[in-house]
Amino acid sequence: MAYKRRLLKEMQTLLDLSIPGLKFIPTEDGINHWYVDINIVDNPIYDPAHAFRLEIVAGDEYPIEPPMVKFIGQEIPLHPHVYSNGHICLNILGDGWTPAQSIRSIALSIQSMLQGNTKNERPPDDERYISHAPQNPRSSGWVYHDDNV
Amino acid sequence: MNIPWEKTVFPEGCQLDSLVTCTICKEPFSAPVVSSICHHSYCSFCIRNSLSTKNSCPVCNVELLESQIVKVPVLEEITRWYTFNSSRLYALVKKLENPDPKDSTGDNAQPKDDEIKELVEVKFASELGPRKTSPSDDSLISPSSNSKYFYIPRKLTEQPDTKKQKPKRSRKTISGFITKKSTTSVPKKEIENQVVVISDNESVNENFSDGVVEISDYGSTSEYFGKKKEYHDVDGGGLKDDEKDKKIETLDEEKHDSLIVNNNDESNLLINSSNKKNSLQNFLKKTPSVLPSSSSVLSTTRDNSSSDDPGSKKLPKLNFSMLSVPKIKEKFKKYNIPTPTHNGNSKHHLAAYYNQYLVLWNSNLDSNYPISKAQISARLREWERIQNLDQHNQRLRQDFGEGNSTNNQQRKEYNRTGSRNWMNKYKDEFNELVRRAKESKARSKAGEVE
Repeated sequence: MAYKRRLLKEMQTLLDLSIPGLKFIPTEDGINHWYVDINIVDNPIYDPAHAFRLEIVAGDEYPIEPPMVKFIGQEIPLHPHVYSNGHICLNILGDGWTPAQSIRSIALSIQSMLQGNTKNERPPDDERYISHAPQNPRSSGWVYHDDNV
Repeated sequence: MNIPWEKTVFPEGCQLDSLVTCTICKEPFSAPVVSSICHHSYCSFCIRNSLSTKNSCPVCNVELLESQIVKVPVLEEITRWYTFNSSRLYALVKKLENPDPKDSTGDNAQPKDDEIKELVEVKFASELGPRKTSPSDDSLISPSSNSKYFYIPRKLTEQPDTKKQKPKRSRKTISGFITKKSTTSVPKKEIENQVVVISDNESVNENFSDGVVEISDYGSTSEYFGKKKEYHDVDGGGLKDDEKDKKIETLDEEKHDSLIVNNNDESNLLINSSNKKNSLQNFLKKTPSVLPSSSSVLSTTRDNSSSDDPGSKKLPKLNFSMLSVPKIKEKFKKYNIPTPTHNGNSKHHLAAYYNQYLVLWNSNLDSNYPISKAQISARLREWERIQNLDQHNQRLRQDFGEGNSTNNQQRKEYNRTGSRNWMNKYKDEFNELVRRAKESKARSKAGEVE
């Protein structure tokens, strides 16, 4: 973790931050491991009272490499880019990542991705993917082809 | 930096704070470089590290190669200046906000910086015996657990050389800030700090000057004032004697500006007292005569490495797929790279090791204040140590955590029971599979015949 100081700084700002619908929860696993509770308020697809839990783990190469991000918990939000095992098909979590982004920007992107969702469905290849998906979504080879949603 | 400018009367300070912050490491720039394509700036180390995985600008995603980044010496100086002076600037702004702590009895959040000044005074008082510039002093001295000390760069005073230099420069002349309006019966209108310069007299001794050095970065300030005393005297800037021969002086705004600029020079000298070439003044002198980067690096690293060191220029990238392990080791010798401590024969490790050294080395060449080769080697070893830990952890993770869940379960079982037990348990399934495979093979053969 060459950039430990950056993670510490991010932790400091995340704890002070107040963004409506986002709650950053530190874990006991270290400064590189976060939970984020996301509430979606103005989208009829999602229950505004229900918080979806996002797990964010910044690896040893962070911020040069993107962190590992997935939904966890009982309820995974319905979205054409979110698989039922919690994996998210989003380019900034893979090829689109740049070190200028941060844990905060990822959480905001995912929140707005759900906010703007109009389709109450899973990805078309959901079953096929989760049958052989690796534990870590970063190990999957993603193809970001669908820009409509 | 994390100076909370937004909570002061001068929230614009935030902008400067973020302008000198690298978007990758979120720290003030060290050896900043700029992209010649999109003109975004980063620390040399950060952007080289980032470009080693992906050739694009982290901010705008435009394609960017390592050869297209250029160093920006002036930005490095600006960053250094800000790093050294931001805490004092902050203290000054806070004081502007709240010039007289007596008036703001209801506002307890504000006068922290004044408390520092109080402590400076207390220090004076304790070492000099009773010394009051005004009767109201007692009421102002507040015993405080002082969070503001956090912002003072202690580095400035940790150099033992400062004490040696001190008598030479300040000639036992001592000064410090005093914050109270009440101390100043000075005719000039003062919005800025008042400065008390205590001239050399029988009650001031060396111990006292040491005391000043201990008080954090005010040590450097006092040195500056000590040097500049004559200037003020000549200027006749409202001198006033009290019963202890102290001259109280005020600074008008102009002088104050010059103070801040020049003071950086002073603090640089304090930090790099062994290497005075690093001062801002010298830097400013240097720039007009457009020196090539390599020569300026040579001039500053002379203490550490000989000037005819073949490694004083940038290292090239190597194509490791074309090189054998002995060839790589030859290159290491040629470039004078310390040999890796682990996995010395793994090509993969050697390549990663070389690339890390390349990033460290090349980014160091972009700095106005390069570190020594020994320090680079130390960082490289640290990287190697962490890398080794990572690999170890990854192996553990691969064995137990990651991978397809069912597959993983089977693997665990296999590990636990050994291959024979596993074979016994799944014998039926295995035989069934073999039978089916034979059947389908026979079927396809039969199909071919027909």
